Formats: sequence, C-alpha cells, structure tokens
Amino acid sequence: MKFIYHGLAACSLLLNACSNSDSDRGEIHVNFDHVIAEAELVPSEIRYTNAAGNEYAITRLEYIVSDIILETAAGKRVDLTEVHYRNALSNATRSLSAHIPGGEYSVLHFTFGIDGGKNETGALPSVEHFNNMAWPSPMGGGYHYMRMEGLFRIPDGEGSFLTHTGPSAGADFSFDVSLPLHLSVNGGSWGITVVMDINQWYDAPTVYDFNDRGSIMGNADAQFTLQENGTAAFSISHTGRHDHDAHEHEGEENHEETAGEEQNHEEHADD
Amino acid sequence: MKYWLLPLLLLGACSGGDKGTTPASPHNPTPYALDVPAGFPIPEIPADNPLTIEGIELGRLLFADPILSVDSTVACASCHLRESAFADARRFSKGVNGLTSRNSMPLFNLLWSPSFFWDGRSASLEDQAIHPVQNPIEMGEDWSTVTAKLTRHPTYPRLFAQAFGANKPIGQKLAVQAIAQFERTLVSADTKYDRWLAGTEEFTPEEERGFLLFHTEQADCFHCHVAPLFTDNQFHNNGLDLDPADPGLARQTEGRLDRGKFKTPSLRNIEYTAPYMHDGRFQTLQEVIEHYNSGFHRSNLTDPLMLIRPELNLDLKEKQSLISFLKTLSDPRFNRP
Repeated sequence: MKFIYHGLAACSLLLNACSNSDSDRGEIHVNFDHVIAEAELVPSEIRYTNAAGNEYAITRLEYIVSDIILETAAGKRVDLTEVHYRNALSNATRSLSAHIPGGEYSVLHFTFGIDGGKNETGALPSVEHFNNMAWPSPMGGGYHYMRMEGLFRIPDGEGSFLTHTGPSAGADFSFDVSLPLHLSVNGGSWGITVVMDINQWYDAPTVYDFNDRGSIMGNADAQFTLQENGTAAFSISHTGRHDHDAHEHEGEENHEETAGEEQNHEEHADD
Repeated sequence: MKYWLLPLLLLGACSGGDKGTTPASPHNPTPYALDVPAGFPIPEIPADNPLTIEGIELGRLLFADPILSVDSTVACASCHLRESAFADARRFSKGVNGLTSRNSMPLFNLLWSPSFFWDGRSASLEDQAIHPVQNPIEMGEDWSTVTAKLTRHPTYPRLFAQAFGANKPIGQKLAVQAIAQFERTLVSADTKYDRWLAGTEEFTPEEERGFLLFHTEQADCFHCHVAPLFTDNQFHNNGLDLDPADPGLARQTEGRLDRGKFKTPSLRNIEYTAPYMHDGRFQTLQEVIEHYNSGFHRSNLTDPLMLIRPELNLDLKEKQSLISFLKTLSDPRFNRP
C-alpha cells in the first residue's frame, strides 16, 4: 500500500472544515526530542548507563513514526501526517507541522514504526532517508522502525550494539502510542513536544543487555522485548504556544495553555 | 581623431575587447530532459543551473580539455576515465606535479549525492569542480588564468554564449556550472540487477545466493550499500586502519571519532572501478570481501555495524556468490569507451 503524502490530512481537514469556521484553524508543530537520564541526548561519547549496567554511547538514532493523529475531547480525530522520519542527531527533522481545525484536543496518537498492513517495500516515497531505512525483502521487506546504534564498554575495549527494530520475518512489531494532553486551539500556532526516554528501551518490563544481543533484525525475541519496552518510552514534555523565534526549553513539565488566557509566567516555545 | 583609427575601433568593439565577456549572440538554450531511472529519488537540480543541451555540451568539452591545467597536460578526464566508470584504474592518479593521495572516485548518479570527495567537503558539483583546477598536484592552475585561456580560445566564447547567454562573463562560475551540468547527465541504472528487479531478467542461482547474502545479516552489505543507489551517501569507518593516516571526514568536522570515516561508494559498476577504498589498497573484489569477512581492524573508530560480530565466516562459495551478485550491478553501456 503506497503512502499518499498528506492526502489523508487534506481530506480530514476538509471534512472538519465543514463544522468549523476558518478563523478557528490553527497551526500545530509536533516536535520529537530525546533524553537519557533526564538530559538531552549527546551522541558519540560513552557516557550513559542502562539498566543492565552497559556503559554506552549512541552514534545513530533514526526512526519512523506514522499515522500521527490528534484527537479532540469529543473523540474527533484529525490526521496530521501519515509518516514522519526523525534523525535524532539532526534538528532538520525535529518537527512536523500541519493545519488543524479549532477545538479542544486531548490525545496525541502515533504508531512507532509502520503498521504491518502498510509496511511493504516501496510503500514510502523514494527519498534518501526512507531508502536508507529499507528492511531487505529477504528479511521481510518494508522499512526499519528504528536504527539505534552505538558502542558500549566491554572488558577489552568497545563492542557495539545495533537496536534495529522492524518487521522481522514479516511480523509486525510496530506499536501504537497514545499520549494525553490538553490543548485548546482557536487560531494561532501551537506546539507539542514528544520526548523519547532512550534508556526505557532497555529497561522495563525486560532488562536488555547489549552483551546478550548481537544483530537483532532476525531475532523475534529481541524484537518483542523492544516492542514491549518501547511502549513506555514516550511522554509529552510540553504543549503550548509555538514561538518561532524563542529558544527551545528541554525537559519541562507538561505545561498547559489555552488561547486567550492571560499569561503571568514566561512563555516557553517549542521551536 | 584620425579617420584611419575608426576601423580599428570598430574591430575592437566587435571582438568584445579584453574584458573576458562573451560576444553578443542569440541565447536560446535547449532544456535537457533527464531520464530518471525507475525507483530512484526525484533529483534536485539547482534552480540557478538548469540542465541545457548547450550547457552539457560545454561541460563535456571542458571535462575533457587539459586547458584547465597549468601545463595543458591534465584534464578532468585524465583521472576520470569513461572505461572505468569515470574512475581511474591506477591506484593514484598522475597530476601535473606528482600523484594524488586518494583513489579517483567514479562519476555516476551524482545527482543523488548530497556531498562530494571521499571526505564530503563539497556540497555541490559546482563547488567540487573548483578544487582540482587549483590543486597544486592535480592541475596546478588558478582560475583567473583559466578564464584568460578560455576567453582567447577560438571556440569557447561562442559556446559559453550559447550556454549561458551573451554578456555573461566567462570564468570560474560558468565553467564549473557547465561541468556540473555534464556530470549530472552521467546516470547509470541499466544493469542486470535493475532488469531482475523489474522482472524482465532472471538471476543465476549463484547471483541469487549473492543477493541474499548481501541483503541479510550474513554479509550485511545492505546497511551501507542500500538500493537503489547502492550507497547511503553517509560516512563510515570500515576498519581499514587502527590509526588512520588519512583523517577522512574528520578533516571537515574535526571530530575525534570521525577519523577514518569516508563516504560510502556506490557498488554500481564496481566491476569496472578497481582498485578499491579511498586509497585504492585493494586491487580485487576478492580482497575487499576478505577485508569485511575477517580482515578489518576493531577500535572505537570502527563503525558499530561492523563491530557487531567478530567475523562473517563466509566460505569460498559464498564469497564467489557475492562477487557474482556485485557483477549484476554493472552497466556496460555506461562504461563503453
């Protein structure tokens, strides 16, 4: 099944426009950030420790999220985009943007990876970042959900880990994430920041030890563990007005704002 | 004024004087329609340098012309030979003042590359073309002298005018734009692999076996040499040296952990582009495969993709199968002399 870029979003916007005036429509920016031990990810240097006691560095983190949807308190779903590629080591892919009808939004949904029914070779547009995420046809076809790679300390130097999740042998290890939020949109520009806690992938319910895991693309047990652990890796750190010029603030508690309310505190932007 | 000076003045005006400008002539360049291979990404062509027949022809001539070098002995084509998929069968190429220090890279499918040189220091073909001319070993020339040579050439002023319009100054900017246009037309995707993918040709059992080894974690080539370009256009240290003498990407980034990282070359036409690696240290594909099978160095610089396992443990038959598959990436029509 081919992804039709923004087609679903466009159709959804038209349907929603019938019940809302244009003045209610707002702009939404969804950011994807990453933390380890509650601090912003710093790549390449061995500085992190996971639940298994592995001291490690991350040299690559890229992933695909799909079917990104905002849901109103009344249960109406607004499609933001069908698929988004994120390279955590580059700000160029940090955000996706969309226009949405006005309303009271209460949940952000997305699929980590691509749903099994859609994850076929050639389903995504032929652009470099999607091509580089290809999951070879002899191994099931489609696309990686995530490529997280790095080094970790071993007794005689450094070993490496490859946390490559995807449709191993054609099975579906993608998972759905639903994050509660409160966002009242009545025009304007708004931001939501989703945070991935990287150590969570290796933490619970199953501790994941790099020493026990080599290449895992063909390892269904490892894929299942990561699928389970990964469902708890995401949270929302911030919702509020989107300020194009303000500096990003990381790691703040979920901050609720509504349009038109007087603000007595410093506004924190998502850009 | 002496009346006999007037014809001289008129002649001077007609020749455009000595300011390096092109003579007035009609400018009506013909757009060139690029044939994008099936499955390839939509290419990005700079808005300020669209492809035209006239620009490409000028670029082709400049590419092959040693006029760009200080002693008129070295052209781009001296180190980028068509019969080697525009690489060089020699380990290092001979410039005007000695040998280069890196193996000449093949030139094809450049439209889909975001950076150039083994260390990625150029972000465009236009920028890349500036450097060999100025390099003291390669062409040893300066662009002001190149401009003067092109301006007084019997043919180039007309060709520049046809490509870029009258009254545009002949010089580095237009010359590298023309060379870049020519290089963008070097597209290679007419291979047995592409026909197999389209369902119009079959692999032999050995080629099929090689395809499977390549595209599974057995040989694990696919992570860096990913279709359809057979390169991810990224930079990796593939364990050639424990202490790399050539800094590679680190020359640009000054990142300590970027030492020895080089751009992943495409494996298309690999049959024609020996020797291999940034310094041409491997003469045969057998040597390359043995390097990945068991011969690479392990350090904190080595790419995690390679450190994950001690050896590939490929047997002789598997190695031969891999080579058979690699040869399905050959495009003999592109490589014709």
